[in-house]
Amino acid sequence: MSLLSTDMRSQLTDVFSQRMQDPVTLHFFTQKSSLLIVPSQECYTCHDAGELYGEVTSLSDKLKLETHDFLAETEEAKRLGVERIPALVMQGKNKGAMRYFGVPGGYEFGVVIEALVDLSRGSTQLSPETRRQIAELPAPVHIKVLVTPT
Amino acid sequence: MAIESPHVSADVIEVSEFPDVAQRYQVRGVPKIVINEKTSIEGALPEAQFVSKVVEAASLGTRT
Repeated sequence: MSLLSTDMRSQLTDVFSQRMQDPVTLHFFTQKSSLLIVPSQECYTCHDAGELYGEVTSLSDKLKLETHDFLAETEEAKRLGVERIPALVMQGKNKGAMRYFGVPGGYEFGVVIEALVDLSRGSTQLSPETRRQIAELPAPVHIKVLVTPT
Repeated sequence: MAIESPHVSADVIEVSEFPDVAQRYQVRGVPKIVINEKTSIEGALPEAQFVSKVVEAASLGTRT
């Protein structure tokens, strides 16, 4: 059964076809199914996250989904800054890393969709003053936005 | 900001799925924003104020 409604799929298809410019890759880190998973280490939301990203990326040929096994690809996970799953690392025209940990629900789902569009265009709605200050940052900045589904 | 600058990395974390994160950062309400593990903001801020916090956090990291 699809996680996205028919109406949502239609809306997203329109958004992607009208606003996407260049390809974006979604690196999805998850837990591959195995009979050997220790109950305390099971990722209960990985399946839903995978389903959701699979459905979203199927709606545009400019979205590419690459699925990674977190336990088997430890070097790649480390390289992309993934310490927990489910995790999405978005790669497009961004200069800095952009990641989403957990399943984006409610309002956060729209945030991810907008991020994918921005990544494909390399555009933001930041003011010129903000762009100037960000360009002059004296040291690296790691921003963590803590949210809950709404 | 991460789109614009290689010096900015941005993570969004669903704390309902990761209670250890909620506990670590003592999350009482969302959104809560943590910058460089030292500067925290509760709630949303207008762009200019948020950028000031980002610049402040970056400057903290350069002080010896």
